[in-house]
Amino acid sequence: MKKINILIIFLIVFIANNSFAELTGDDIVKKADAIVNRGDFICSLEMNVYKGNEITKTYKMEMFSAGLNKMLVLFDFPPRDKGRAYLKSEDKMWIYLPEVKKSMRIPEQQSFEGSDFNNHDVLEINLQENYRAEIIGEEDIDGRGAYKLELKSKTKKVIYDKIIYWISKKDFAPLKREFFSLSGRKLKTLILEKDNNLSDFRPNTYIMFNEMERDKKTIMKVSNLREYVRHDEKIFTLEYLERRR
Amino acid sequence: MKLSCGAIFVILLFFSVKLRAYEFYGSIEDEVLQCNLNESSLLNPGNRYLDSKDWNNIARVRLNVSKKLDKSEKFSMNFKTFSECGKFQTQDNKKGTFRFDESYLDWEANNSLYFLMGKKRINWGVGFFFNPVDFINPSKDAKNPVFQQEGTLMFLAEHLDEKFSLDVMGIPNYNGDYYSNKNKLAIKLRLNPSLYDFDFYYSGGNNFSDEYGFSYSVVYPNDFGMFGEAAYVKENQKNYYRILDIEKKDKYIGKALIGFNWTYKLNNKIQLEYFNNSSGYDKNEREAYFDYLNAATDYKTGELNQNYLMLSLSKREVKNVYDFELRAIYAVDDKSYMLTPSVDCRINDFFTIKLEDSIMNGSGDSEFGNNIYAGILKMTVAYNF
Repeated sequence: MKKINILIIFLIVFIANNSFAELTGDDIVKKADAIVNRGDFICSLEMNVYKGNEITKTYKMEMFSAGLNKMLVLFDFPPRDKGRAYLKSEDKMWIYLPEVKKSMRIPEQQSFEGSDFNNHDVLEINLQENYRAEIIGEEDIDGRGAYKLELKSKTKKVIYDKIIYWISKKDFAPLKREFFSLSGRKLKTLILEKDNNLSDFRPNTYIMFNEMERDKKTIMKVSNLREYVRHDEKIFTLEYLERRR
Repeated sequence: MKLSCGAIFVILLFFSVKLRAYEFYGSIEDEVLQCNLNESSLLNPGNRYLDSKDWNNIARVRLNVSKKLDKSEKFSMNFKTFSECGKFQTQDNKKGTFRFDESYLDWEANNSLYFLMGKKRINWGVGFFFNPVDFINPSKDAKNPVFQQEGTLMFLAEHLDEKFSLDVMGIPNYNGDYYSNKNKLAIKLRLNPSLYDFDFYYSGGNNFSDEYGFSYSVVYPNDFGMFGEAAYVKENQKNYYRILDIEKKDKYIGKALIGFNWTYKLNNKIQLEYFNNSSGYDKNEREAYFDYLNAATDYKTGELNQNYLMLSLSKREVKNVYDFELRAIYAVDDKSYMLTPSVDCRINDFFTIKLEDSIMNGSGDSEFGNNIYAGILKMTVAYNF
């Protein structure tokens, strides 16, 4: 009986070990994506664009997300941009400009309101669908053990050819990303942080550094997060934007 | 009309005090401008416009008020006012303007039905400068698409579902047409834009020629965008001037726009539009028009040509503060052009300054060569709230 018990324990440990050992890069990215994208949510965003240590611009927005493919960002501040909105539906993006009362298709690579984020960074959050991930090592990021992964684009529709991605080994929280162009040049670095008082794994501060302009950075902070909100489908339509202002 | 809108506004404002707070936003602008009169322009009969080197000053206030009228936020009222006063470069030194650009009530009956009643500005199409399908509130000045316009009184019903949206508008006393102040019907059909890239438009009614149109826009990889519009107007509404004995030739009018844009290095953009406009005049018609102008006052100032090119080069967020743009509109038929360099500066979250210089040039019988002003230099300071 004792031998059987030892054998069962050995088997459990072996299976458990084996299942972790078989965790692929894609699995890890999937788990990290799931932390960032958990169902439908509404949140407030504050985006500060820095030049050196000085804030040059501040934007305040409301973000509505439904699943992985629908997202709406409504601008509330500064007053000049009030009523402006960005919409993503499936793989298309639009901007609504209240001053000309028109919705226009926008490219992913265009800067998001002059910040170091582009439209793709803000409106596209589904990495696992567009990239193939491979574990290339393990490193410490701010004292946290992390998987280091190399993500290679599966399709031509994404704007970064390669992403180096650090994901926490402990809870699969995303920690850092470096974005590379087709020529292999590093374009940007994103640091994902969370406030210590949050019990959640989800990062609430996104700091984007632009490698082209080293004295620039943009910090986007998430607050007032409300999850599992049931949205009206109509808010993710151009008609809704055009009705508002 | 203005009085009745004003009365509705005051009544709703009075009742709304008892309800929840309403939303205000808008801007206060001060514009100083110097206009360089075109001495040889035919578009200045009686020298109504004066040649003054003085700086003119115009103040503008835009105030937008909206309010949800019920707890479920399905019912709302919305007002957009525009007022302007100052010194203009005309003999009569135009008095101030106050108008309601928009004043309407709307109701979201459910997820798929929406109704609107009142005065609303609707701009159809995807082009930024030229808009052949903008049937309801066509831009009064294609050279300045951001210029705020007065809306149109209408009743709008909108159906929205996963496959398409359909807007049906009944417009009483529509006076944006040559013919009369009769009722007009306008319809827009938009197929699910996540799947399709087309919108379709119709406008018509008693005493109005039917107008049909569609628009298209797409973004390709590498941030290359393409867009287009086409409009077919069933009757030719062109004014024919008979000095050269020009007969009405075409039964219908066709207009088409094709545009391309390319965004590179995040904030730089090149946009090119080609506009074909058969409601413009051909060479003979244009000559007849300019001959007629010597004896007439009902001149048109825009879209006189049949072919236009527009090129815009912009660089945004220079030092996080400045937006630069160089825009050129070239009238292909008469070889005249308008060149507009501008710089927009954000002083802080509330104040902006814009500097803009427009230069128009061309021969004596060309559109831009005949513009009342050969150049306009202006600076606008705006406080946004």
